[in-house]
Amino acid sequence: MALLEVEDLEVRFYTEDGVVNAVDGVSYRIERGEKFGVVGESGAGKSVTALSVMRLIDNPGQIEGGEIRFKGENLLDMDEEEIRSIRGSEIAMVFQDAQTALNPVYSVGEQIAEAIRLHLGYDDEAARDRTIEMLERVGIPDPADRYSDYPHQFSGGMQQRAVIAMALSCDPDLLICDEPTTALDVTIEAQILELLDELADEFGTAIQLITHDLGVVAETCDRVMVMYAGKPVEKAPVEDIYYDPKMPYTVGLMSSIPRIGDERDRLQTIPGTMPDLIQLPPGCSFHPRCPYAEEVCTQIEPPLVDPETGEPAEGVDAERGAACLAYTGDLQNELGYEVHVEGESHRSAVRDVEEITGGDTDV
Amino acid sequence: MSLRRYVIKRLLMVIPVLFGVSVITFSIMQLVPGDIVDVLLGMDPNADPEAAERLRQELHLDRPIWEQYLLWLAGVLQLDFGFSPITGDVSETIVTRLPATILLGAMGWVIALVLAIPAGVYAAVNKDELADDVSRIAALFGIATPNFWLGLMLLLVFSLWLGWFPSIPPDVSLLHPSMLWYLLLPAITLGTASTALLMRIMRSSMVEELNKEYVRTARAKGLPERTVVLKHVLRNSLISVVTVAALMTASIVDGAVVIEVVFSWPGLGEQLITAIGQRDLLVVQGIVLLVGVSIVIANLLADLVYAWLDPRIRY
Repeated sequence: MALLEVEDLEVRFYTEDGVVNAVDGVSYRIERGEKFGVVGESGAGKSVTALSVMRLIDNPGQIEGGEIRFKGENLLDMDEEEIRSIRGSEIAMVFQDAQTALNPVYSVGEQIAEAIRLHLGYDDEAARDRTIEMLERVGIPDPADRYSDYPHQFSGGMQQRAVIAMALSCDPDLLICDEPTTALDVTIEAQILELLDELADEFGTAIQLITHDLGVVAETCDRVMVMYAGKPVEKAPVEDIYYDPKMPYTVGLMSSIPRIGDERDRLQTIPGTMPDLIQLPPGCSFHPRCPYAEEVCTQIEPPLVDPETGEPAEGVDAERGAACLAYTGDLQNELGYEVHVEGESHRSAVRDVEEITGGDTDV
Repeated sequence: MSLRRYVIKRLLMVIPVLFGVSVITFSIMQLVPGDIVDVLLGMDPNADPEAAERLRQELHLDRPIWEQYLLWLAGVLQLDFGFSPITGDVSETIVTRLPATILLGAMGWVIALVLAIPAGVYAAVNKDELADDVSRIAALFGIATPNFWLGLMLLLVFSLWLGWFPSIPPDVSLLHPSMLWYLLLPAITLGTASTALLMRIMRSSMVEELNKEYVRTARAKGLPERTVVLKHVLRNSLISVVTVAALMTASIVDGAVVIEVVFSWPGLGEQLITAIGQRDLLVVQGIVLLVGVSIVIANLLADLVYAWLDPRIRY
């Protein structure tokens, strides 16, 4: 039994402008101690998926369908009391912007100790000791002195370390990191990722890492799910995503990462923007931006299938899947891109994905 | 900067403000049209010229104006507000009246806070639901109802018709239970207008805070919603409420003036109205100065409460 199994999750937001299908048919699983990446542009539904696992979707959002099984139990069936005993103790979350995620009027130490008192039942002093120990673990110097400091007295990197300490303080089995390094500069980003990686291994914690940065995924994750407009469009082990991306959207994401030694003058971008989730384009949601789109892409919504066999890969356990009509035999032409790999061995070695030919974009 | 330095700095800032208050209050006497001595003696053409001369001496009217100010200020600092030809020693008049007003103001204040904060929190948590709409309408009524009218209506209904309260204050000491019971109606009248405004501020401030990310963090920790709201959100929302509460001291004070008259409450407000009617300028001056100082102190306290609520202000 996997630690977390999300099956066919559907989340909608009932806004004044219409119904937003924020998450539509997402399935994945995370094993104990595994690091799972969820990648996509802003608005792809990554954060909503994560918040659903915490059951923290606020009005006007509703979890409309599917199951979220944690250690075999459906979180969506639990009452408020039960889910609260899991939040923060078994599933914890690290948010994007630590500065706003911390309450400005309570000391950092108190904010961590609070969770420890609540879930582990420690008294004030024991909770304080454990908090100081956690602050030390995440690399905050003089943790005993900094216990009573307020968030604004911490630098951005320190704040994120404190948030990580808070998340890990009750020794959770699953840590959901929602863009944990987006608000930080690059050097701090590397430190924080390393810290997360190290602590997750040490504590045996599984990580669901949400990011728009495939570079971060390469550094950290074992398996990846790429999301677009609320749907999963590609699922694969991390090597496959880099060496052999199957979905044109993934290819676009890969080629828009700048690299050292790049000969191109301009950054490659994916043309256009993510469609309005209230009025998704018919057929494949990605077709207006896809260089390989054909007539058929505007008519049939591609299912998630195994790109080798064309078998359905919608399920929780599917390892490899891509949602493109190229793999269901509906597309007339081939996807005309090639992947160049430069350098070997290290996982995050320089790679290059280049588009050789573009298809007809005026579909 | 430590908390102590913040407090010291804030205390020092009070000095120039108090200086301004004293100058303006002092000028009341100078701005009165005509001869101040004639005015103080009630414009009585038959007044004893000796008394007029004595008063002139007492007010140092023969000295230059800045000396007059300094001599007056020196007196005020020793709580000597002068001697009124009408009511006698001004300080004594104020001291006998002050406790009643403080009691009324404090009770009105407490009623406002005790009603406004929970109601505002409840409305914010149930935003756009029935409770919120009800509170919105109640607030509108509270703000739109004139104090004196509400006071009269309460007297009419609860004192005259229902007979639950006496209609004039009983002749007992201030802290006697039947006196406190009597005080309930004027205090409610005084508190209502402020309650309405405070409740709206509390609600909007809380609604804003509830959307902040730290609230999600607190929920993600597994804290019960009660703790999230009452520990994490409330403290952040109180900052703007404290600002308004301090500014409202002024409206509590002027509300007290009207209400004391309506309820025949023997406080400073009633005395002020009488003094104005009698052109008892020294008493007016004394009360105005006191009101000014109390508003300055209320704002000082608000700033100290900020610092206690929000550590970012201390630094």
